[in-house]
Amino acid sequence: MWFGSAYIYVVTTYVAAMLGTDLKKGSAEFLVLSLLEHERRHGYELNKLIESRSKGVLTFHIASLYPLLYRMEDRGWIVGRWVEKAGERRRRFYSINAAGRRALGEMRDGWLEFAAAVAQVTGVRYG
Amino acid sequence: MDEWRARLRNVVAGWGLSPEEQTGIVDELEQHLEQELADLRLRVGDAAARERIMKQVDDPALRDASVRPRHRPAVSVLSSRERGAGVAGLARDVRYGWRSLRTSPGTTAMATIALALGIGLTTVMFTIIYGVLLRGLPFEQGDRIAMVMEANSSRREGELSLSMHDFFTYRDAQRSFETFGAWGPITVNISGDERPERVEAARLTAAALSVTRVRPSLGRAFRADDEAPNGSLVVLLSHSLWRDRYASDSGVIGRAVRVNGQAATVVGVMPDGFGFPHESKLWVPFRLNPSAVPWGSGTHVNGVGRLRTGVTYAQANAELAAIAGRIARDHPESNAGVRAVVQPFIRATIPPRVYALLYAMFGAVGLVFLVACTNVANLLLARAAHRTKEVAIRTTMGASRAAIARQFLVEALVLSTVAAALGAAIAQVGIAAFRSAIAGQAPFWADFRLHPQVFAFIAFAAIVASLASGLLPAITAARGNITDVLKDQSLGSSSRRSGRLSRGLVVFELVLSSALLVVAALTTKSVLNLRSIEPGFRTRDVMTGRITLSARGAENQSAFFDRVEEEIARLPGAVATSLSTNLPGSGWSGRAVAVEGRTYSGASRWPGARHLAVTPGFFKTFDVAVLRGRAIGVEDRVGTVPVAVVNQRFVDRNFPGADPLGHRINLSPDDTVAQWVTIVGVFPTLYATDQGSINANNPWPSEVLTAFRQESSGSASIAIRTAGDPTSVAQSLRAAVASLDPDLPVYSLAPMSDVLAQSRWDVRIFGGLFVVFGIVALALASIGLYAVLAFSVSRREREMGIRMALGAAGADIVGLVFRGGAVQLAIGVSVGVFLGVGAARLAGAVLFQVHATDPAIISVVIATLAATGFAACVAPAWRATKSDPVRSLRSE
Repeated sequence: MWFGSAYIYVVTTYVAAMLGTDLKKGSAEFLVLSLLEHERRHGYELNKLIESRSKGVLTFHIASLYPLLYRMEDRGWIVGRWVEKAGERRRRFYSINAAGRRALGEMRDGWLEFAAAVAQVTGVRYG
Repeated sequence: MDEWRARLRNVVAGWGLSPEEQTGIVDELEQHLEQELADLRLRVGDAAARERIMKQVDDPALRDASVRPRHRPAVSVLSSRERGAGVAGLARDVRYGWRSLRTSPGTTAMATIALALGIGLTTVMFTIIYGVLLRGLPFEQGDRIAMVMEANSSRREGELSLSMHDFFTYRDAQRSFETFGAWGPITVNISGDERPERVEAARLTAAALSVTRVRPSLGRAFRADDEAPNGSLVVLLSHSLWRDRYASDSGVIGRAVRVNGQAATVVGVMPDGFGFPHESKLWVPFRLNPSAVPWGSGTHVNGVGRLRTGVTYAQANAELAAIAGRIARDHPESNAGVRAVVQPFIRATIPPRVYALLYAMFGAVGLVFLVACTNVANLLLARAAHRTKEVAIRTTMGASRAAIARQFLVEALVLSTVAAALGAAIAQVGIAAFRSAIAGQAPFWADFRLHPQVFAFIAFAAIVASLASGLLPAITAARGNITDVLKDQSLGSSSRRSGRLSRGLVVFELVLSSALLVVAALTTKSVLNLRSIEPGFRTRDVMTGRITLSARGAENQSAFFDRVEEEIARLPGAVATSLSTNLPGSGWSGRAVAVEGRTYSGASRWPGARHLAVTPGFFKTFDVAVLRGRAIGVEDRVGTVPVAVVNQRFVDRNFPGADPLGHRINLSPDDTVAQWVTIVGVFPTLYATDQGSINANNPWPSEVLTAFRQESSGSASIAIRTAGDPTSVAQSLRAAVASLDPDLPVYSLAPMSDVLAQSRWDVRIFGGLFVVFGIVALALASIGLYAVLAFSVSRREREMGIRMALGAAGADIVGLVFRGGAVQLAIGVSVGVFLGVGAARLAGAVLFQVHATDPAIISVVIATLAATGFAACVAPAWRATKSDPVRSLRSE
C-alpha cells in the first residue's frame, strides 16, 4: 500500500511538473488501474483518491473521468456494476479484471524503465 | 430540480444513447456531482460550490465526450452537430484523412503512384484474363456450349477430333445436348466477283451454327438440306467480309461467288463480331457422307453442342463416355482405348499452356501489387510513428482504439481510391498497348476492354490495397498506449519497434522485387536472344507469300507451280526466287525418319527431323550454302531418283563420324509403302521455331530438305529475294499469279523478317510484360527502401546530431545509414533471387535460350538492386550528415 501511494505520488508530481496536461490525461488510465488494483471503487472515490494522493496536483472533472472509465470498461480493463444496498441509492462500482491487471503491469514496467533511465541521466532519485 | 441537474440531463441527452443507458449515466454523474457539491460546500460555501459544479456541467469537453458503453456501436469523438449517422462519421473521417494526407504531399504522392502502378498492372492482367477466359462466349448462355473431342489414353493422345462415324453415333445416341453439330476449320480462296482473297473459314453443320443461337443479320442461316453432298453450295459471310469486300451492300444475298473455285451463293451475313468457332470470316455447310468411307477414316470433325438445361458437364461426359465405350466394342480396330471428352468451349479451345501462362502472369502482377501495398504500408507506418503524439491526444480526448484504427484505414482507403483512379488510367493505356500488340492473334470472343467487371475488380483491388496497406499501421497506431508514447518521445524504443516492422516490410518488398526482377531479366534476355538470333538463312530483302490451289490434279498442280516460278523469276527487282512447301523458321513440319539398314524397336525410336520440300532457288534466295555434296537441282523432278539434303545436325545425330552421302532415308516410316530418298548433300543447321508451341526447347533441330518437284503439294510458299525493299514486289507478285489464274489469291504476304518475328510474338508480348513488371517492382522496392531509410534517419536525427557533436565525421554517419540499408538489401536480395530462379523454372515457357540460373543475369540483377538500394540510401545519409545537434536537442 505504501509503495502504491508513493509510486503514484512520484508519478503524478513528475508528470504534472515535467510534461503538462497532455500527459496527465494520458496517464489517467494508469492511475485508475493502480487505484482499482486492490479494491473496487466508485467514480467519485477514484477522483478523491487521485486528488488527495497527488496532494491536489491532479484532479479530474467528470468530463474527463467518466468517458475515461467507460472507455476502459469498453476496452475490457475494468468492469462497472451497479450495486444496490437497502435504503441507499444504487451506485456504480468499478473493479479491475485480468486484462486490466496485465495492462497495469505493462504500464508499471514502462514507468519503472523510464524513471530508471531518467535517474541514470539526471542523477536524481525520487521517493 | 437544481439547474445543474437539468443541464446535465440535457448534455447527456445529446450523446445519443438509449434511454436506459442515459438514465444510468445521468444517475452516476449526478451522484458524483452531488457528493462533490457536499464536499465543496464545507470548504467554499454553497454559492461558490454550485458555481464550480455548474462549470463542470457546462464544460464543452463533457458535451463533446464520447461515451461508449460496451454494447453500443463504435462512435468516435464527435461534436454533437456531427453525431448521429455513421455515414456522417465516415464522411468526417474521409475529410480528416484527406486533410491529413495533404499535410505530407511527398509521401502521399509516392504512395499513390506506387499503388496506382500496382493496381494498374494487376488490372491489365485481370482484363486480359477476364477478356479471354472468364467473360465467356458472347452468346446466350455461352457457358453451356461444349466442345466434344476424343482422347486415347493408351497412346497418350488428347483432344483428337472425331471421325464422322463417331460424330454421327454420338449425335444420334446422346440426350445431354439440345443441339449437337460438327465443325471443321478450313481456309478458302474466294473469288468470282472481286479480287481473289484467302480467308479463314469454317465448315459448319446447320446444328453447329444454331448452337450459338445467333441469327444472321441478313438473309438466312444454314438448313439441314444445305448439307446434302450434291446440293448447290451456299455460304454465309462475316460482317467484316461483307463490309470490306461488298461495301456493306444489303443486296449481297443471292450473289454468286467462287469458293475454292466452286460456284456458290451467298445466303446470309452474320452479325458484327461473330467469328464462331475460330475467327472465321466465312462459313460453308459441312457436307459429311460417312457411308462413302470405312469406319474411322475420312474427314474428321470437331463436335460442338449446347447442353440441355439442367445437364452438367459431368453428366454429359458420363453419357458420351458410355457411347464411346460401345463404339470401341463395336469397332476396336479404330476405337480401342478412345474415350469422349466434353469440355466448355473456351476451355477446350485455349491451350492449357496458355491458361497456365496467363495465370502465372497474374500471379506475377499480384506480387507487384503486393510490393506496392507493402510500400504504402511502410509509408503509412512511418507517418503513424510520426503521429504518435497526435494519436495520444486523440486517445485522451476520448477516441477509442477502433476509432483511431478506423482513421488510419480511412486514410489508406482515401489513398487507394485516388490510386485506383490513376490505376484505371494506367490499365487503359496498358490494355490499348496489349490490344495493338496482340492484334489478329486473339480468339474471336476475346474482348480486352475495361468492362464493368474490370471496374469492380479495380474497386476490389482498392479495398484489398487499403486493408493490406492500412491494417498494419492502424493496428500499430491504435495499440500504442500512453506509456509507449512517453518512451517514444524520450528514448525512441517504440519507434525501434515500428522500425523493426517497417524494416521487415522492406525486406519482404526486396524479396518480391528481386524475384520478379530475376524473371524479368531472364525474359528480357530471351527477347534479346530472339531479336539477335542468327537464323542461318537470309531474312533481309526477302518477300514471301503463299498460294493454295484448290481442286486440281497432282500433275496440273506441279505444272502450275512451274509456271508460277517462271513468272515470278521475271519480276523486276527479283534476284532469286523459290517455291517451298513452307517457309524456313516457323514453317518446318516435323516428321519421323528412318535410316535405311537400321532397325528401330518401335515407332517412338524413329529419329525426328524437320522437313521442307524446296525448289532449287531456295538455296540462293535464302543464302544457304551447301557444305558437302550438292543442293537440290533442276534435275530433281518426278521420275528421277528422289533426293534429300540434310543438315549438319542430322548428320551429327544419325551418321556420327560417317559420310551420309549416298545413304537413303525414309521420311514416312509409318507408311506401308516406303518412300526412300537419297542423301545428296549437307547444309548448315538453320534456326527452326517450334511451330505452335511457345516453348522453343530446341531451335536447332535435325532438318531435311527434299525436292519440291518430286512431291505433290496443294500449296506453296513463294519467296523472292529482292535487290531493294522487299515489299516493292508485292503488287507485281499478285499480278503475276493473277495472270495465271485470276481466281487464285496470294495471301500471307510479308517480308521474311516479319514472318520470323511473328513466329515468336508470344515471347515478345509476354516477355515484354514481364519486363514491365520487373521494372515497376524495382522502382517500387527502391521507393520503399528510400522511405524506410529516410524515416529511420529522421527518427535518429538527435543521435546523429550528438554523434556529429562528439566528433563523428560525415563519412561515419553515412556509413551508419548505409550499413542499415545493406543488411536489408543483402537478406532481401539473396532470398528473392533464390525464389526468382525457382519461379523462372516455372515460367520456362517464355524463356528462350537462357538458363534460369544464368550467372550473368543473376549478377546483373544483384548489381542493379544493390545500386538502386544504395541510391535510395544516399539522400537519407546526406541528410543525416546535416544533423544539427543543437536543433535536434531543442526539438525534444
